[in-house]
Parts: sequence; structure tokens; C-alpha cells
Amino acid sequence: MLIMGDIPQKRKPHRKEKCMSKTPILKIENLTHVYSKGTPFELSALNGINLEIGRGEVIGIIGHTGSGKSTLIQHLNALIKPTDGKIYLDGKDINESKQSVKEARSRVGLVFQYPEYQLFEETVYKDIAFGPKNMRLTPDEIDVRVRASAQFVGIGEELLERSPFDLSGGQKRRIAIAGVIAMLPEVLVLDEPMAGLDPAGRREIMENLMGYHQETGNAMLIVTHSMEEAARYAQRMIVLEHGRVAMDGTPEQVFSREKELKEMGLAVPEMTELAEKLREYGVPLEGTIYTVEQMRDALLSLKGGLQDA
Amino acid sequence: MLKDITLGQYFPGNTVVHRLDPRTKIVLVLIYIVAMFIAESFASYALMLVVLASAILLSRIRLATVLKGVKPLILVIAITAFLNVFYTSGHILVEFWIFKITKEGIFNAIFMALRIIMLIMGTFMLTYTTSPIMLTVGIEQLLGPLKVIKVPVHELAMMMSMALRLIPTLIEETDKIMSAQKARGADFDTGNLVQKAKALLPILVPLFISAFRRADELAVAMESRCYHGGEGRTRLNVLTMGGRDYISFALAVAVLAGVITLAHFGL
Amino acid sequence: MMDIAIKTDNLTYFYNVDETGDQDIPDVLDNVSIEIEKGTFVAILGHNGSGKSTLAKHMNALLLPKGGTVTAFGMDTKDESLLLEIRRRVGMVFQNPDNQIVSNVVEEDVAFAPENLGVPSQEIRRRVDDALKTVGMYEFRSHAPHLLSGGQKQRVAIAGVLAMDPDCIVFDEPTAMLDPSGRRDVMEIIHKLRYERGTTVVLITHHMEEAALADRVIVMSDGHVVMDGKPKEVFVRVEELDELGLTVPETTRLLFELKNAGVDLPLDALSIDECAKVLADKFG
Repeated sequence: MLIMGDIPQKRKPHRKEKCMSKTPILKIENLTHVYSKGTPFELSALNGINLEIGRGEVIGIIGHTGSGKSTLIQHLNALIKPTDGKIYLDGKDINESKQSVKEARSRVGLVFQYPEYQLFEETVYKDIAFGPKNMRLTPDEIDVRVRASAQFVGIGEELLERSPFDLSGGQKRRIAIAGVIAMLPEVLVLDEPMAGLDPAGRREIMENLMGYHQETGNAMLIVTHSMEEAARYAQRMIVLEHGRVAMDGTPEQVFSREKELKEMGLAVPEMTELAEKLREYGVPLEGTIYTVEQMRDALLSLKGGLQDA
Repeated sequence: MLKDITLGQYFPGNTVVHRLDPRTKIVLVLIYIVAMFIAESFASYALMLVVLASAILLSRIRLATVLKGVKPLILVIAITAFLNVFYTSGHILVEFWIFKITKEGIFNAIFMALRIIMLIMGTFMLTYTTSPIMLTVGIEQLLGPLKVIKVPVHELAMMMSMALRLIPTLIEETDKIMSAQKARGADFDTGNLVQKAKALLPILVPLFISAFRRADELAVAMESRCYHGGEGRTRLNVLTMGGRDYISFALAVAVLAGVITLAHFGL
Repeated sequence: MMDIAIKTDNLTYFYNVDETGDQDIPDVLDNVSIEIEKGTFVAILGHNGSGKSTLAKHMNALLLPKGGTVTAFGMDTKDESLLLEIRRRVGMVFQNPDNQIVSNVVEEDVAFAPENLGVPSQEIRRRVDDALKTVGMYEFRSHAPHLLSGGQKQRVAIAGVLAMDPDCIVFDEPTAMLDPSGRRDVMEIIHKLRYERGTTVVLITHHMEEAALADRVIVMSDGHVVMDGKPKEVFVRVEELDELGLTVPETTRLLFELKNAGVDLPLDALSIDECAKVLADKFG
């Protein structure tokens, strides 16, 4: 079996070292972005964002349409330049020079919404190889990366020589993600990777991604509308509103502020809502509950308590 | 950004200019173009400038917006003007090496630039104040008589309005695909011409595939909404010529006559 | 017969290989027989490629059966002379709003179908205004659709179908590309159509919470109907749904897990309110 660990890595420190390292992989300082500045269409999308993304963190980014999510993530690999503020990758300003921009593009991988619409090569193999090729890796390195990334997203060897356009929507989506994973980015940013898929497809993609994360220890930022999914997979959640960071913390911390979330027009997980209802009915549930498992265990422990008494 | 292109853009409004029958506006623009080509003196340019200015004022569209339409062609205009400055013979003002700047050249350059700019602004006024659908309806009806000689007028008009409908969507899509390929390290700026052309493939292939997919889905959606060609179709907005249309025609003919008279007297 | 909106009788369909092009795995339908009653709200679930979209496209004669028959309000979809009437009475809303809007102005887009049907101008104006008010987009009538949000575009697309004055609307994954607020708006409109206008609604969806709101849920797999019943009856079959690559609402999942842990609970408390009541009785 091929794993990313086999890949010759130039600047990447060893995984253990990486997790221990205290400096954040990304540091966003006072980031502000105004679209069409100086025109009547002027639109301020980000207002002084300060964030630190740790190495190996899995973060869910939440906020409704227009909260600045897309603008924020496109800053992270220098696709959009800040109106004000700085972004540091490993301590270095990514917009400092052409070279630093190029470096940011490969070290921060960005998967857009509906990425299957960007496939263009004749074969799956060639499409996944596009990113590594642009990084000017050797054919051997490219080959290792293509095969390993295809495996991470559950695309079998037999599909590599097929045309991506003959495959199903879910497969295309995974190939497109593999195309970004193949650049072996230290931060993988995904904009709604599960949009439009059926439940099985959603689960598969998330499991593939978590597998990739566990194998490489690389940081992952997932933009999603699904509170449930964010809560299930992320250790940290960032809630954006009006271009500002409204909340930043563990799912527990975020979901404990149920009222504020609702005021922002965001849905809270069904289980959080259920817990609130149950408390109204006098069921003494403790702590913040946001997954089915937590709710089950909380209720069962209550029952245990009842039986003991 | 590609998004800034205003090609075929419509600015909704409810002014006299907006309310004019699209057929009237198309004919007026044609008259305007003819007049612009006949005009060749200060007086006639002044007259045309008054016409253009009143149209812009009446439409309440900001001058800056109208000027923006000229921007993409600024280089062409500059080159035309530049050539006129040096290649017109006449009263020499400055002379160095093989270049001669003449008084006539400067005048010519100014007029030529002004003519192109005014032509563009005038034609853009049509698309700015007429919704693409109304525009196609207008063209369809003006060309209506051609149906007799088996010209597929409705089909052509429908194709045109579909194209107008899809342009903003495809522009947005191009932006997205470009960003996505840049995120995979694609480089569109460096390299020689062949390399640059090759670098466009990752944009063009997905764009074409997506355009075909969209066209396909749109066709199904249109069929679902009972589209079956132009036969028996009615309109939400029926075109009716009113008093303002006839007055505009009269004014346009007067202006054209004025310009021709001025030209006749060499003014 | 009077009360049936859509009826499929041994409907069989397959795509010819050269027709599929670059599409997803071709859907097939194998002897599907269903009846959709007038005025009901029916959700159709199924994994990608289960045949649900193919089934939907038969309801307004976008596809014609290769075996069996489909009738819409008593009209055989194979009868070409009835084509326009079938499409008028059975409207269809698709997944991607960008690919179903035909005009650069909202109200002109909504007018498209009645224009095709040869409705007189004054009547078109009335229908357009009425449809736009129903979906809450009246104040956007002179806007350009491409500048609207996804949810707003989808509402315009629905208005475009409403302007035909249909008796049944088939929604083919209308919320798949929308954010939660857009999704909420579309579901509210569906609810309104069903309860205020008595429109028959067929909703194809991946979202279990949406299906839970329906009167009836049909589950498709590999071109067959595998489950058919009230949401409460269908969602209690948790293990089968999991196997089909589908899922169940979290409330049902919780009750199922508790049941597995030995707590005796009814599985059919679908809504949060019902679920809370059931649990409060047990644990309160």
C-alpha cells in the first residue's frame, strides 16, 4: 500500500515534529477585504479578521452566504490580495513576492465548490497530475503522488487511465479533490466538499478526507453549511458573520451559544435543539449536546441513574 | 476582473428613454450612427453632442457608467488618434525628424476620437436602457417582414436572447475555473505565446463542457415550460408605438436634416 | 381515476449507451407502478443513480416510457397532441436555478411559459405578478436574475412554473445547490402550494428532513420502488435505509440507538417536538 509517508518530502518536517511545533502554520492578521473599492459597488467582505491555524488542526468554517467565508479562504493561498492586513504561512508573508505567492499556492491547497467542473484532462491520471506538474516535480515523484492521492479518495487504479468525464458525479468530485491533495498541501481548504451529494456520497468523502488527515497530519479547513457534519469531524469551529469572526472554539463552546447562532440565522444541530426541548420538559441533561451519540449516552446515563435509585 | 465587462448590460429604469419602444430606439440609433458619419464640423459635432447628452440625462444613467463602455476600446481610439496626428498634411505646427504635426492633424485626431467615442456611447445607450429581451423582440419585429422570404427570424432572436442570458453566467464560470486552476498552480502569465495558449486549455475545456451541459439543461427546462418555437407565442410586454415614439422620430429626422444641411454648407 | 394526478403503469426505461454521453451512471426504471393522488405531497428518495430523476422526467413527458405507460391527469404522455397540456399541468423545477432561467429580467423570465402557451398579455401580467408574490419575489421583478442569490433564483424558477397555473409540480432536487436559508424558503413555498393551493407536489430530494414533511415517501433503488408509505412508516426502517446508502433523520437515529440499548421506544417520533415528548415521558 502506498501512503503519503513514502513520498519524498523536501521542506516538510517529520509528522511528529509538526504536531508538536507551536508556531501556527497560518496566521491571519487584521485581514480586511473590500471589493470594488472606490466604486458605487463597494462591498466590504472582511473586516479585521485575526486567526491562527495550528498545524494538523481540523476546522469547520460556518456562516451563511455573504458572511465572507469564500473571500476568506481565497486569501489563504493568495488568490485574492488583502485590502489590508497580512497572511503568514509558516511565519512568512504570502503576498511578499511572486515566489511566496507560488509557494502558498502549493502549500495551501484550495478545493472550490463543485470542483468536478474543473476537470479537463483526457485521463484521471493526467488530471490529478496537473498540480504536481505545475510544482515541477520529477515524473517519479508525480507518479507516487498521483497514485497515493487517488487511493486517499477511494479511486481505484483501474480508473486512472479512464476519461474523468465518463465517471459518476461522486467519482468526479473525488478525482478533483485528489488533484489538490496531490500537491500535498500542509493546509487543505475545502469549500463545501459535500454539496449536492447523496448521504452515502457525503459520508464517503468525509471519511476519505479524515483518512487523509490522519495519515498526513496536515491541517484541514472545511467550509460547510451542515452544523451536524462540522460538529462530527472538526475539533474547532469558526463562525463568521458580516466579515468578522463571531465565534471561535470547540464545537461544545460554539453550540453552547445556541441563542446567538439562531440570531445569526444559522441552524443549530438537531440534537442541540432536542436537548433544549428536553430541558424545558424537565429532563436534567448536562453539558452541551450536539451529536446522536452524546444524546444517547446522556439519556442512558440518566436512565442508569433512575434505575440505581 | 472579467466581471467588470459591461457588454450587453441593461440598467433597469423607468425613464422616457427606457419606455421608448425598442423598435424606435433601434431606428434612432441607426439614424444617430448615420448622422455621426455625416457630421464633420464643430457645429454638427456640437449638435450631436447635445443629442447624446440629452439622451444620457433623460435616461438617468451615470455618465461614468456610459464612459466605462468606452474603456476597453481606449487603445484602439488612441492609436487612431495618434495616426491622425502624424499623417494628416496641412499647416505644420511642429516638425522633428520625419514627423510633422499639423493643425489639421490635431483637429482630425480629436474629431476621429470623438466620433468613435460618441458612436460607442450612443450604441451603448441602446443596450443600457433596453432589456435584452425587449431588444430581441424589437429586432424580431423589425425583421418580421423577412419571414416571408423564409428567414428564421424568431429562431435568430431566441438564439440572441439566450446568448445574452448565458454571457454573465459563463463569465462568472470562467472566473471560478481560473481561480480553481490557479489554486492548482496553473500559470497564465508567463512563458511564450505557445506556452500561454497551452495554459488556456485547463480553462477552455471545462468551460466548453460546462457551456454544453448548461445548454442541454436549459433546453430541457424550456421544453418543460412549453416552449415549442415561435408559433402562437404571445408577449408579456406588447410593443406599442406611442406619442413619445413619434416625437422622437420627428426629432431624429430633424437632427439628421440639420447635420446634412451643415455638411452641405461645409460647416 | 378522478383522484389520481400521476400514474405509472409498469414503467420501464433505459438509456441507450450513446445517449448517456458524459452523464452519471445511467438511471434505469424497471416495471415501476405508482399512483400519486391529487393534492398530496410525495417525496421520492434514493441514492444517485437509483432512477428517481428518470422517473420524474417521465411525469411531464420529457422522457417517454420504453415499456408500460405514464398518465398525467388521465392523459397518456405518449399522445403527442396532448404534450403541451401535459407540460402545462405538470410543471417541473430543476436542481440548478442558473440553468432554467431564460431571461435577463425576472418578470420576463416568469412570463416565458404563458407566452409559449399563447396566453393574452393582460392575463400574463396578472399571472406573473401573482406568481412572483406567491414566492415573495415581487419587488425583484425588474432585477437581473444573475445578480440574485441561489435561493432567490430558485424562487424565480418556481414562479416561472407557477405562471403556467399547473396542477402538479415536480421538484427535482430543488434545494441541492442552496444554502440553509434558501432551502428553508423553497420548503416554505412547497408547503404553501400544497396546503393553500392544493397543488400536487412531487419532491425528489437527498434531505431526509425535507422528506419527513411529506404526506408520503417513496424510496427508489436500482430502478425499483423499494419502500412506499407515510414518512413515519418509512423512516423506522433504519437498517434498510442505511443499506441503501440513505440515512434517517437524527431524531429517528437517536430513538433507534436507544432502542438498541434496550430502551423501549416508538421509532416514529419524527419531529423534534414529538421526539422530545416521547423522550420526556421516558426520562423525565
